[in-house]
Amino acid sequence: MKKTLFILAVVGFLFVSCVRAEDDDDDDATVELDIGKSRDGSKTDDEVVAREEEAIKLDGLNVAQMKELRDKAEKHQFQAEVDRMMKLIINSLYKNKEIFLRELISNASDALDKIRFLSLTDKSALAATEELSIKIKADKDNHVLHVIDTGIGMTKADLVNNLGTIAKSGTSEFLTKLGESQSTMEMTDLIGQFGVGFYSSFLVADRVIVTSKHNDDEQHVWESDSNQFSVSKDPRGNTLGRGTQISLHLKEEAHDFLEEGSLKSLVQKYSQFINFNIFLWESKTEEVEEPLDDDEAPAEDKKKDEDDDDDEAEVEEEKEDKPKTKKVTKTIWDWVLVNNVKPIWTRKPTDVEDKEYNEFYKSFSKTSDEPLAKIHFTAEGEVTFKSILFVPKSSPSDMFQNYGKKMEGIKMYVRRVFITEDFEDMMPKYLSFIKGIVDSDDLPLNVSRETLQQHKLLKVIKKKLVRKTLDMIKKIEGEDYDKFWKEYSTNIKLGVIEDHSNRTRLAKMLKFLSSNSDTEQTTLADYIERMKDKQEHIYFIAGTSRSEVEKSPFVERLLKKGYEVLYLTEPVDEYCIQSLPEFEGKKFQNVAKEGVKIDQSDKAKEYKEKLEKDFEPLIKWLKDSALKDQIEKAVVSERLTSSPCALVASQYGWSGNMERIMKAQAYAKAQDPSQQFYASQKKTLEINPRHPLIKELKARVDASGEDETAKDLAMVMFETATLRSGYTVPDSAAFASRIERMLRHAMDVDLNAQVEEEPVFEDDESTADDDDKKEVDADAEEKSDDTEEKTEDTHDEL
Amino acid sequence: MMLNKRQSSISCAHLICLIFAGVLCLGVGQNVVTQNEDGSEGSITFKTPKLDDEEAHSMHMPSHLKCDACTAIVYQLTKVFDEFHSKRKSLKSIPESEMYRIIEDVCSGTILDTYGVKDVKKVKRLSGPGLEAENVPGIMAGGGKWPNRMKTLCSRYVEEFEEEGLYREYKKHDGSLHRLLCENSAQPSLTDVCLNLPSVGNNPKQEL
Repeated sequence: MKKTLFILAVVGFLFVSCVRAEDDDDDDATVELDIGKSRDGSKTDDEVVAREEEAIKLDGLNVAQMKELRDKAEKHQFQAEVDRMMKLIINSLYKNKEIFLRELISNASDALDKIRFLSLTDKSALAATEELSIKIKADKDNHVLHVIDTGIGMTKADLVNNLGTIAKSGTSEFLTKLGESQSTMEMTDLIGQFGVGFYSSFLVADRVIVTSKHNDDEQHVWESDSNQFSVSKDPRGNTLGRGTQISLHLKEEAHDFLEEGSLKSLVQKYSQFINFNIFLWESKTEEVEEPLDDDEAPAEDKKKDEDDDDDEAEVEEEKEDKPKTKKVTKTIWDWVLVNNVKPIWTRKPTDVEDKEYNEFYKSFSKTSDEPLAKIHFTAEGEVTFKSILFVPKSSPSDMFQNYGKKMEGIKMYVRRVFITEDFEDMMPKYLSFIKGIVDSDDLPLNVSRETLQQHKLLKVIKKKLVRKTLDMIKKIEGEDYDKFWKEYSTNIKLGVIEDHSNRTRLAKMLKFLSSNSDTEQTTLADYIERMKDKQEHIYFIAGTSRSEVEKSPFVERLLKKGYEVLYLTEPVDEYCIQSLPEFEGKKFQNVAKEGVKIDQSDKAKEYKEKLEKDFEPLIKWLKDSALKDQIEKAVVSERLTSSPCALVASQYGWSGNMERIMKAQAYAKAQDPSQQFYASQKKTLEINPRHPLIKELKARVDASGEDETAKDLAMVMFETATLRSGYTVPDSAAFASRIERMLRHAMDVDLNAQVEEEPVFEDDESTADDDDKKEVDADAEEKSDDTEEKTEDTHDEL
Repeated sequence: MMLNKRQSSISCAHLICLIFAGVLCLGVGQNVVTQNEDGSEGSITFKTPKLDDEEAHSMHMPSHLKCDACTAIVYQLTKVFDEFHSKRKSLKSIPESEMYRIIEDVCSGTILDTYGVKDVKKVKRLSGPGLEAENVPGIMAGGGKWPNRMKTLCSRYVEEFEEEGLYREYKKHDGSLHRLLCENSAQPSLTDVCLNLPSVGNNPKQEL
């Protein structure tokens, strides 16, 4: 039995030792693993040290702390989608790297919004620091850019979840859209929308360190090289108080983002109206008086500069009134507020003073003038947006050179973040002079030209902007309106032509010269007020200048009878009026066209009928004989007083003024078929039955239809009327020779009298060699002299 | 019976499109009907309406056609509103952005391009969807200035009443939209165009 027990004991011992041996083996294996790691670790360690040393400079961690950090760090892989997305972002946005700053600032602003919101209900939320700001600091020596906010911060769990995964709901949609997006622009848009703007950091950085302190957790450090990330407790303790610091180790090609100038302009471009103060760590040089031979002080300062690179401003000053001083240029570093213009549109219009609007206008439009008018409103409905619009004091000098090409008046913001100012469709072309901002919370942050252009809400915004703009202009009064009209009259007139959906509103803004006043322009409404009882039409005449149209044969009788006539003297005017079907129920009548009926009384009609009967032979003779094929018809005029006759276009033909303008178009083609129809339309010759020349003509024609002088007279009168009515005479040579013939008549010069020959003079300088040639030349000269003299004569006589 | 599609002179280069209405009806308007003795063969010649100066060249809708134009616009607006509601039954009212879009479709799109002028009982009438002249045989002269005249007038109504106003009247479903746009004296020569018409039967084809 004892033997058996012993054996059992031995077996049992063996078994136990066996197990222990196995245990030992396990331990060994672990040890071996460790050893293995340390064996090829010499290289790795070097790298780590190098990196650690680098890190020390930026994060204030010493080697030991860094080691601790690394040792304790939990390594994570990015969620597959995040990984894919980061690669997509990095590969497709390389041309538009600068947006990373906009995204980081926008994230910081969101974090600040969150803590501020919390503090409304929980006062202790701001216990760590009352400050709510964003700070940007470039560390040129180490090529690191820090973006620091005092926002809500992130707990360890937040860091892992927010900076390693994408919210499930957005993931697939995002990746689909990202795959679909055609252009870089669209890509840019998508980033903000899906809350993944943070990853755009890797556009410019190859390593990103996020240090964050949330009120509910210790300060943690997240670090990534875009392949994997690690999170660990910050060995330095809670240095931030509250908030997040993002440190970007910039790639070499992105070192430009360390320059103060470029940082400042980026912040001002994209983030000027962020609700929170944004500070930039800036240096400026100052000349300071310093005691001579005193090296200690600057050295100390320099040291201090290196050591302490945080919040407080360091101003180096040492003013001692020692006699021995020298001027020294010193660099002073300080936090400088970059977004000093506040988004006043977020306030109630009643709370904002005019002065503030003016300052705001000046700063965002970069002008020194005050605006002529402004409107500040909130539009509600399917899309809510706030907007402030301004009319600048003067119009851009190149407005019509670049008409419709340059549209940079309206800046679009989404939640105070600048999106673009380059919407072609934000304002119609004719309102491109309007400057202002639009800010909406309802649009995705990513919007920008390509995507937003198509956005259905944009159409709503645009419609409302235009209507509000017109409201603003309508409210400009008195002298200010005169100033407005002086600058922008052409815009409004083009608006009447281009924008049918606001034509009537725009028509109410029009002002024209009129026979009512020598200096003042009149609105159409005022014209209608002054209209005579039975006046059916608004009369107008178009021409190149007031003096020209005032003397036009077309206005003679109207003015004499006391009708008011609008004088349209700008090239765009006639076209503008033609676009208006009517104004307050009154149609327009161009007095240079058919359809002017002045006296409608029965007696007047009777008188006219009698005249028409008397003049019928003359009218028939003019149309069928003297001016055959030149005129559509001849009629007894109702509108002439002192002129013998005038040439009238049909109601829908071109007036002389229109013909001149159309022919002068830079793009006009000769013989353009679409214009030929109007240009070749024959006109109506109206004759003044009371004019002595017409009476004489009538007498001659009544006597004989073959009177050559009468034909000449009719022709010249027709041509003169053509000119007086604003048209061009097609055959000016024939016209000139007819005039000459009449002048000869008038001065009793024989019609066949020849022009005297000019004597031929020998050319002294010519040599005998080219005698022959000279003779030919002389002949030619003689001929040309001849014609020259003739034309000169004509001119003189004229 | 044979339809002789001999087009008489097209008086103006601006008449781009000629549309034949389907149904034949003898002896209408200026159209010429010839028939052989036993009546087994014959031809009808439809002539394009002869346009006066205003009808041919004015940029604006001639006054005597404004009632038809207004009626057509009301018809088309009602149609697009109806279509939206039948597609999106869950929505009680059209969202702003959709409303802007569909009204713009009517006033600036191609919808109004199909209207033109036609002789009906020796009177010129607009013809096209929603108008009684559409079913009267004859040649419609469209194209040219007609689409723009229709669109400009359409935009004018939108300017006057705004999208919300038009939609509000439509929602009453009792012909209010037609009364607002075409039959009230508020705006001379804009909203009163179907008032005091000569009794040529200018009533809109259907009350909308």
